[in-house]
Amino acid sequence: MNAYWKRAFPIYFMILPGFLFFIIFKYIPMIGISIAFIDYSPFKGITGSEWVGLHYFRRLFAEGDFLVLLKNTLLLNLLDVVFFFPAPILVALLLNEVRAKRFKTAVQTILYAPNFISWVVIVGITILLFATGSGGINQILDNWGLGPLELMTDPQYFRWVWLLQNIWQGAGWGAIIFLAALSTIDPTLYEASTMDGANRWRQVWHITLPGLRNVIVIMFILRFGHIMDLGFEHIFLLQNPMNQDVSKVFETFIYKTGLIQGDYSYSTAVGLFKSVVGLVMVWFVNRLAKRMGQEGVF
Amino acid sequence: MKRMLSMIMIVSVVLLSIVGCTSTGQQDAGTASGDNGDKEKKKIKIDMMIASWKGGGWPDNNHPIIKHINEKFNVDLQIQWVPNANFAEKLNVIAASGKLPDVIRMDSPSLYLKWVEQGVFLDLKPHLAEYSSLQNIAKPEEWALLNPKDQIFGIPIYATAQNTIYVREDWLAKLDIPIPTAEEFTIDKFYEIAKAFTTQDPDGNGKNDTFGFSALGNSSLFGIPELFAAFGLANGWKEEGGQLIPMQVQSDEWKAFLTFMSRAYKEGVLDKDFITNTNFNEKYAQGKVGFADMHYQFSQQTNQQLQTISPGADFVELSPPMGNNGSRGNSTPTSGTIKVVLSKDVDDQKRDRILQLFDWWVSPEGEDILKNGIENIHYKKNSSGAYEMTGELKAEGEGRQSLLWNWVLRNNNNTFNTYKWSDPTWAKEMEQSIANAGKYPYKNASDAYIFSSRTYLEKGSALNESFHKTVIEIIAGKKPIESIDHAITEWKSNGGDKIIEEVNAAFTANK
Amino acid sequence: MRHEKGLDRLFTILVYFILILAAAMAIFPLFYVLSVSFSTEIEYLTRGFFVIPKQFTLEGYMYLLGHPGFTSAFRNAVILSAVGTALNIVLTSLMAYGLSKRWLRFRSSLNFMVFFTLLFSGGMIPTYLVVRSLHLLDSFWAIWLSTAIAPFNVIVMRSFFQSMPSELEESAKIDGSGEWRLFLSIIVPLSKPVIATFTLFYLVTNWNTYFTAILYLNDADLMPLQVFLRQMLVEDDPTISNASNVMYKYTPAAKMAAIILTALPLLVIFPILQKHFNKGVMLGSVKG
Repeated sequence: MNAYWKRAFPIYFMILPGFLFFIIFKYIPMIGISIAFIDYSPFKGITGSEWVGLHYFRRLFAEGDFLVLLKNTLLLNLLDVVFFFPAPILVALLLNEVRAKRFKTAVQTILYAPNFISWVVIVGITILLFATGSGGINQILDNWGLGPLELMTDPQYFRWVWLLQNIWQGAGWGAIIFLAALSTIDPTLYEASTMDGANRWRQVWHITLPGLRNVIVIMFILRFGHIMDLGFEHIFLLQNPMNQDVSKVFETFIYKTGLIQGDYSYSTAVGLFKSVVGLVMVWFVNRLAKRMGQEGVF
Repeated sequence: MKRMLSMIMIVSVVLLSIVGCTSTGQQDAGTASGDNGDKEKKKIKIDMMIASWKGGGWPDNNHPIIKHINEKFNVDLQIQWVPNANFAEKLNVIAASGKLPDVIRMDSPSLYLKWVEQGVFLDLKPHLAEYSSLQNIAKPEEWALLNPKDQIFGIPIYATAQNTIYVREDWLAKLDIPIPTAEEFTIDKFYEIAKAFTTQDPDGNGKNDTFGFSALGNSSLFGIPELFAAFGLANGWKEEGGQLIPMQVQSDEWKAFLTFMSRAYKEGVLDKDFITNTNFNEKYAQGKVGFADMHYQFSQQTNQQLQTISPGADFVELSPPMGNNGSRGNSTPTSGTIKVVLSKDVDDQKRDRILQLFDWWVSPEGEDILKNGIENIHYKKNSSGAYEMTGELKAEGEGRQSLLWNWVLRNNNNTFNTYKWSDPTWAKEMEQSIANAGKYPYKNASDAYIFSSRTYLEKGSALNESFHKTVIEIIAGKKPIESIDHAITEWKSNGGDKIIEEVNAAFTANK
Repeated sequence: MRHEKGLDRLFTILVYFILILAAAMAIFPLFYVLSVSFSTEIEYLTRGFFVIPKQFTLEGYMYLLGHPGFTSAFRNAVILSAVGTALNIVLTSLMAYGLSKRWLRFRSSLNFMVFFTLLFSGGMIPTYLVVRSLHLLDSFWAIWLSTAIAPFNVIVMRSFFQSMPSELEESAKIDGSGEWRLFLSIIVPLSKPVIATFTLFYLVTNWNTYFTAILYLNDADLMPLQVFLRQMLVEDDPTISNASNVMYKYTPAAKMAAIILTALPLLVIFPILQKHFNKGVMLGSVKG
């Protein structure tokens, strides 16, 4: 046995259980991707169902709503990348600057808590406050003669309501990973720069942010893998007939046309389409990151 | 590229070796017991998969009613309660594994039809004659619904009209408006009263915070179908001159209806929140709305809540309002669109046992147990000889003992929600109110045919959704009433015409 | 505390101001949930949005704590999360550490294998068939094993290990101590913040188990907390009232109390884990 294998053997051994997990629970089931290309019937199984090739993809691209779905999906994701993605980083940076330990723990716990409030409740509270007639805030506005703010029904607000609720629920939670990354920054760097007379702002810029760079890049690349994905439940709860032109996305579409009728081939085809777009986007962003001297995800 | 290739190689080598190792067959032993003795005595395990609703199913399969059944029929009843929201997903996954549960309640007619085609259910027709109680729970046409000729793959679930318009009697009294009789209660009268509820401060709190009626903008027929009926709009589809016609094409009826609704919205007679409402429960219990769409039991529950806030508050039943040409109706579901099926893999012996069980289930004796529960566990006789709930059932919630009756299978009695201990007046009124609702049938004529339309299955929901959007926009005053014509044209040309054609083809083929 | 210069002082004030504002916005709706859980139904129906209940009642909590379904669901969630998270964290950190070795052959193929599953999956039907053929159905093992590793966590954890100074490895090599010793006695203690972070991630995921439980478990008495919670919160569609004629109601207080009680264990555990990932590890001291 040569030196490499002697050294590598324990490492492969560490990877082995995880490797087996991926094979058994992730790769064997990949056979299921073929459901997108057959007229799948659970009783005939994958091998017994009729091969239809790209039929379901053609059906998807021919949907009258296809472009609307694509546009809504991409716009919401874009908003999310631009506004939601930096929010947890900002929270982490702010918390990192707090020296009072109790205050820090308290604020962090409060910001983390909304993650455990389900969408049903969050949307419910928003409606309670902003329902056109009975909403608490709308009644106040009405008393001031400002008329109702049709936050839940006017389509122009939909995306922003969705985004703000995302930030409200997820910013504190998302900060955790960046706080963990901050903990790996060598504290002697700060000491040295303080001695050099650098102020706090410069320290954030020259030490803290570079220390986070790795994680930010990875999270950013991975985010693009889900550029076509949106949480179903949140959007579904916010959806109503008035805002459907801006709120219908692939998830809600598939729920209404495919899942209820057990049309698995179609849902699988839509899922596969989304994954392929995600893969292309990640590949592209990953290359960009590597070209800029960063470590990519693969 | 190179690393992808090597990855594929690694993966496929491991895949092959694993598949090679595990493909040595392992088949479930099925019903055990090698005993060849008296077949009737053999204990049979019966799996049922049932959708559960609010509150979920029973916590285990040791419920006293299940025990009773197990002993009486020498079976081992295993019920899987799956939350309704995930029922279809789980059912499909289980189907893929090759063995359906023995008994399934199919709440989705389209999936039922699809699977009937695949031939995975047991044809019950040859056996039904032996089980007269079971056979009598539905009319022949309800047994035949959604089935191929001369075959019956499911036991139809009875459904009946229950909901109608209710009104706040105390508000009427306060405003000196007599309760309108069925003949007086026209749609104009409805509006006149609703308007009075909105403007004349019926709750006497000095604030302008009440309104005539509410609606659910996201639900079909807005959760208040009586209004659609009054304007002659179909409950989905109607039959006219040997043809089936969808509501979407009824231009004149829509215009009359939308004029009415948009005026109601503008004048505050219709709840301003109707687009975002998801249920009526809280709206009605808050005491701000005068007319309600509910059924008797719902009204009793709401009144109880209301009276804690304002004593004397009382919702009472009315007939559905009558349109100008005399049309009126209470939404009437079609019995038999929901079915209880047996898997075709059930052997003869098990099939007989299940059918015996169901035959008893819907008989008076079975109904007593399945609906009321077991004496001295769920209810008992008190000192004066009347029945009352036990403390345990009270704590669990009245009705929780009737899950098998209401969520699995029941007969066609209208007493599904009255129990041995129910107040006799209550029980009588309940039955009366169901009888009343049945006087004005308002049915969807397409229930048996709509799922035969391939275009409907593929595009129906998207088409209806965008049509619905225009309807809402018109009511909310964002679009003029005439724009409904544009929505109708769109609906028809984007697939609606095809749906009409396909549904009518299925309709004529079945005549 | 040492005196800060003008600009730094402004900086500090700004930081505190923004955080207090953010916390206030986060806590406001939470307060509503908390208040409703202690209030009566009448107040809930009549007052709309409110923050302080006028009439204080513990009924919602009493109801839940006395409900056998709730206690059993809670117990199941604890078992599921405790064992599941332990398994998750062991398998994930081993794999992530192994894949962080830049010199390892097949490393990038293996990395790609992990990454690929982040985007593509076979869907629930074939996964179910695998779980079934392993005879795992109707036991917690179905959930523990089928969700043993989240690819996302492997990738991110790997990048943490990669950012550790390579001197560590070099020194171990010179010592002649094996990879296992290096991992267990140096890397793991140094990575406490990272391990704490991913423990939390997995813990929350496991605690929120809903769909896999519905899919793989049939016994109602194995169902975890989220299944119980959803059955309380779900509103039966009023237009299909014929499907379910059991009029069954939970008070708003009971519903909100269920939300609070479900979140409580994770809120309590957070500050404990947080201590670890806020501490900051003295990597420098090791180097020196």
